[in-house]
Amino acid sequence: MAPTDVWKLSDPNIKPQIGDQLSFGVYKNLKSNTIETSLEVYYKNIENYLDYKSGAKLVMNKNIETDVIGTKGKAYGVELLVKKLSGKLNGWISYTWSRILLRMNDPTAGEIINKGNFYPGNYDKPNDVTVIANYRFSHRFSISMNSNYSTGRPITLPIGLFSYAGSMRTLYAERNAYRIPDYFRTDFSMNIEGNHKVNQLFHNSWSIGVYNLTGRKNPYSIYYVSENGMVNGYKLSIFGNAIPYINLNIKFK
Amino acid sequence: MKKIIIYSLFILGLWACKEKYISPVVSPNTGYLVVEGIINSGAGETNIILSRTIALSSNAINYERGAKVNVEGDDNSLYPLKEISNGHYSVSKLNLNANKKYRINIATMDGKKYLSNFAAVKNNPAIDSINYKTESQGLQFYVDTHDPTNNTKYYQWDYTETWEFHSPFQTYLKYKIANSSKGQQFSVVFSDSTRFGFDMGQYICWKTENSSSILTGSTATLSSDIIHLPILSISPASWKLSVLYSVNVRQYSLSKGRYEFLQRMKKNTEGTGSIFDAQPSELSGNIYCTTNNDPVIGYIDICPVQEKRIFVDPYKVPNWAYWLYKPNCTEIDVTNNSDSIQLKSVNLLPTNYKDINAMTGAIISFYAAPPECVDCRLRGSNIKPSFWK
Repeated sequence: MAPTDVWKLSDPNIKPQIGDQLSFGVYKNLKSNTIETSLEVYYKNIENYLDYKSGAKLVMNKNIETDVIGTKGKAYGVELLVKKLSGKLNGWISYTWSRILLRMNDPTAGEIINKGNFYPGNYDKPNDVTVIANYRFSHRFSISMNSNYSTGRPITLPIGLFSYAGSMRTLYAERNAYRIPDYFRTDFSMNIEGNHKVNQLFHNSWSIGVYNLTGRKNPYSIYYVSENGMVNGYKLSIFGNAIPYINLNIKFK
Repeated sequence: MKKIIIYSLFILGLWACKEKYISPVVSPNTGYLVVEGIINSGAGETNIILSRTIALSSNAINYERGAKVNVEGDDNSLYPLKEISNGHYSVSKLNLNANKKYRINIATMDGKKYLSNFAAVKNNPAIDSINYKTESQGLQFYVDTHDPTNNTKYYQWDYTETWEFHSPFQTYLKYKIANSSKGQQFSVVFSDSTRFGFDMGQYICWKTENSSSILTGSTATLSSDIIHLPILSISPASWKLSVLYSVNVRQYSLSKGRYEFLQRMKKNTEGTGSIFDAQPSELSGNIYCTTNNDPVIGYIDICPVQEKRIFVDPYKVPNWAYWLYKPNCTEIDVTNNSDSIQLKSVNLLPTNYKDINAMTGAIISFYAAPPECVDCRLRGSNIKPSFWK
């Protein structure tokens, strides 16, 4: 979700979004139902998917309907999942390949985007891998790890400068023609449970772990600032370091 | 207190995560052609400026030299423009036929050809007035225009400011440098034999500046085509309004296409730099490359350009708070001998004498000040503009 997203209901000026989806899946359980596997493919046809007009004002805009445009789109992909539900080691691995492409080529509806060609939607992240694994050493001690990798989302980048009307100005590439760096994050935790006596008021457990174990500086936003007549790009990451934590969970009976 | 420490740590944590980002994009070395200007169908000049887009890391404008630029009519009439300075192509008195359509035809040195779409000559009403008011941010100038036929609807303005200013100090003296066996020997002498004449050429100057933002206005959503818009302002105590100030405003009437093109460019390039910026966009205009599909930035319209010049005398502006512009302008006194001149004032300019030998008229000591406080040519030009009062 981008910091500039706004929720908007359909109204007399904004047509409701329509999607027609076709999907097909194969499911197979192995080893007496302890391992579930699945493969799904889907294709979705989208009408009236909202995107911003060029130069749209995104924040504090009372008339947001004048700055958005209905696009036609298509989304398709493949999802693979292997899930182990029980045993000392449990968790799942999923891989998704998915695309969402949009097109605005109706000159009567407003300005054409990217010469009327299909372009990636703001959330188009073709590759996504998620690994979630738990290992239970005993009833009172377990470790868990989750990792997520995904393709960086699309971005409209400045590609050059030019002089016009007495100032240097930024030249942008086509809408969403480039991508921010890929996203990768691993969280690790150890869970220590208290005693398992039945008759006690509280049931305590401790979690000790690290968010973003590898300390990868995943970009939250990439922006350009004009400094001393130069346009410099910056990448802002939030949780850009490994962040350790300790949690005490108290459950009341 | 504790809270402040925690917040500061949090903010420090975020700071640490701001890194320089090098774009993976390389725009072509030669850049894309940028065409700036409008065809003036009236009696004045048509000015077209050609340049190339440059890499994000550079900062020098790359002008396109040696191109052949022509205005072409749909009646096959041809009006060539001449390159008057680097990348600046100009022609006067086109006096185009308002019933014909025209376009621009550019052939660059690298053998590529560019054309704009044929466009009709747009009507452009004369500027009614340029007027000003003292407001909290200084002196605010407004442009007033109206089109009784309600047809113009989209406007653009740009302006050139010129102001006369005087040096904080007048100079009656100059350095005299003699070469001797001991090296250079400095002394000061009167620059004028009467001793009373100061150097006007260093005292009175003019400075000219062009507008640097995109100024547009539209009456498309209004019932009548009447414009009253703020166009520029002079901040309080600015040196622009110290002796006499003048601004020449040029008005262009635009097609809806060019108006939207300029609006997009303005949103893309003015006031960006936060995560809440407008959605950026590429700029497609009405010019295209006929040789290949190279992108071109520019939108050519045709109209008679209207101009209006006004003069402002600071003494006639009510409540104008102005004091003489003196950037670190203090004088020191120096004894008139080579050693003390070389020690104290060799990087300063002499202004007037302090002590003089009554018998011989020789200067014993004098005052000196930083050059920009004495020689106005360091901040402007001492050539009087032809239109100056």
